[in-house]
Amino acid sequence: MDSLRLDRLGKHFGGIEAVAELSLAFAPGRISGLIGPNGAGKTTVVNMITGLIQPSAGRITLAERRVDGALPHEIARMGIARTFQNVRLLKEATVLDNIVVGFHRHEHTSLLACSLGLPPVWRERRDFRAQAHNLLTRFGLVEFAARPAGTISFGHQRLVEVMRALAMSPDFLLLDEPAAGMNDVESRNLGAIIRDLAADGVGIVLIEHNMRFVMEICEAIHVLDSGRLIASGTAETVRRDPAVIRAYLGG
Amino acid sequence: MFGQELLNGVVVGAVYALFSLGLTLVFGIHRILNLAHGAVFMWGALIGYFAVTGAGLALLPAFILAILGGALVSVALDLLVFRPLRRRQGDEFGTIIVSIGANLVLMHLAQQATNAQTLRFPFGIFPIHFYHLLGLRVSLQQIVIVAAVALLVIALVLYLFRTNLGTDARAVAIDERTSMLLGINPHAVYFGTFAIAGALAGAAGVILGIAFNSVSYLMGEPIMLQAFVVIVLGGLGSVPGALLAGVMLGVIQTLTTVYISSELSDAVVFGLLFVVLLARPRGFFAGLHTEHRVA
Repeated sequence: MDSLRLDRLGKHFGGIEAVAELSLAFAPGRISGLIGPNGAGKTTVVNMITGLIQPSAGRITLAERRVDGALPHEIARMGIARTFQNVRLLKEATVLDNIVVGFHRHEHTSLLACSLGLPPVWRERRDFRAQAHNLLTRFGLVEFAARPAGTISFGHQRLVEVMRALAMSPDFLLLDEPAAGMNDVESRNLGAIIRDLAADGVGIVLIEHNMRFVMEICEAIHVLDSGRLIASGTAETVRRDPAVIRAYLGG
Repeated sequence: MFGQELLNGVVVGAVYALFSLGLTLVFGIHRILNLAHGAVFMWGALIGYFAVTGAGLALLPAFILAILGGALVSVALDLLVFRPLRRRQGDEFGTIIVSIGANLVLMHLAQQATNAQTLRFPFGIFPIHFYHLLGLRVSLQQIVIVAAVALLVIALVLYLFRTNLGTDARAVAIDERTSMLLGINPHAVYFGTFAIAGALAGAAGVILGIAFNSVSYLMGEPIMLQAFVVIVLGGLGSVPGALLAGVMLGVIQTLTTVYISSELSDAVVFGLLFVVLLARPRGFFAGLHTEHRVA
């Protein structure tokens, strides 16, 4: 119903076709995987959905609303959040502040209220900080709240990025290689968190290299190669698909 | 005597700091070097003057009007001058050039409005009253100036570090693109930064205009030169840096003028800048943004 749809999406950089004729639908509450060898165009797809780059062809819609053509902050406000392959936290700001920024979507105070120091300004601030604190507690990172985000371990930074995305209460969450650089325990925990989110109705789009992670948690897997969709289905069907095997093993 | 001069220097320096804060804020958050900031300051003084002489307002409402006027001019600058350039993906150098043009336009408008005259506030606009504290002669005006600057600075720090809007602004300072992906509307942040910078400049304009009892369309130029020294010395984009360096500059200038010579005061100031930069090329403090920007 309120799906995130890609319709004959295409992107070329000069003469290079990064993505071509890609049609996909991501459903709320489902965990979908987007996989493919290096350079298959996975991150390009995420960048197009979040408005960082504009598609050359096709359209993107969220619940019948046009997404392509909108600015990144407008898309974020529509309810699409993401994390990055190479974590993009505000490294000099504290872990807590990084998450507080994520609550921006729920912000109501105006500059005028701010400059007059009206009570709602402080109330909202307290409220966001309390909620950020709750998230940190839930993820077991509360002890790092006051540390600059750039000083905590990489695995933890990834989790902070996930929390920041969650602070936006997104309808769709795009995770770009969230398990990269995590050990087994950490990625298992992440898997549990992702399942919880999906159970709450958030549509998850997982971009991953770690095949075991993808196969374990995704209900539907889409395989890209050279910017084209070569297979779609459950983990079982995709794993046995000859085109997928060829793409991954070469030949 | 020395204590007295020190005090006078601190008061002037507080106004330098107030002016420079806006300049360093716009640069620190948006990496725009706004060379029309001096014109905003000058317009603040003019608005304050016209509010008193033209509209017959008392000093406090005139002061508030000047603050609002400064914010308005500054926001208009962003909307009419910088934003069109941003939309066309202009670079940092382009913003410097257009701000020079905007500065000229604002100055010529002021020249027309004032017939190129230096304006003076009516005598006794500010009650002349002196107190004796610790052997120093402190005027009511000096107390009010320092108190006003302190209040505005406290408000700025609260905004930046204790409100959600301020957190957004600091996020944009570090990484504008990622901030957008979190739903932060960059236009809103630009609006806020320019409004605050303009408000501070407008306040500084009125304060200095009354303190020296002189308002002219040229008054924005010399203070821009001082402000460059202040923001470089303090560290580009740094709030505490601008504060410290502003007060320092006021003190050094006053002491040089009194004990050496007024002609040499600029030479001493820039000489000092040179020496400090040799030792600390980035000034006293790191700015709101830092080098380690996220790719």
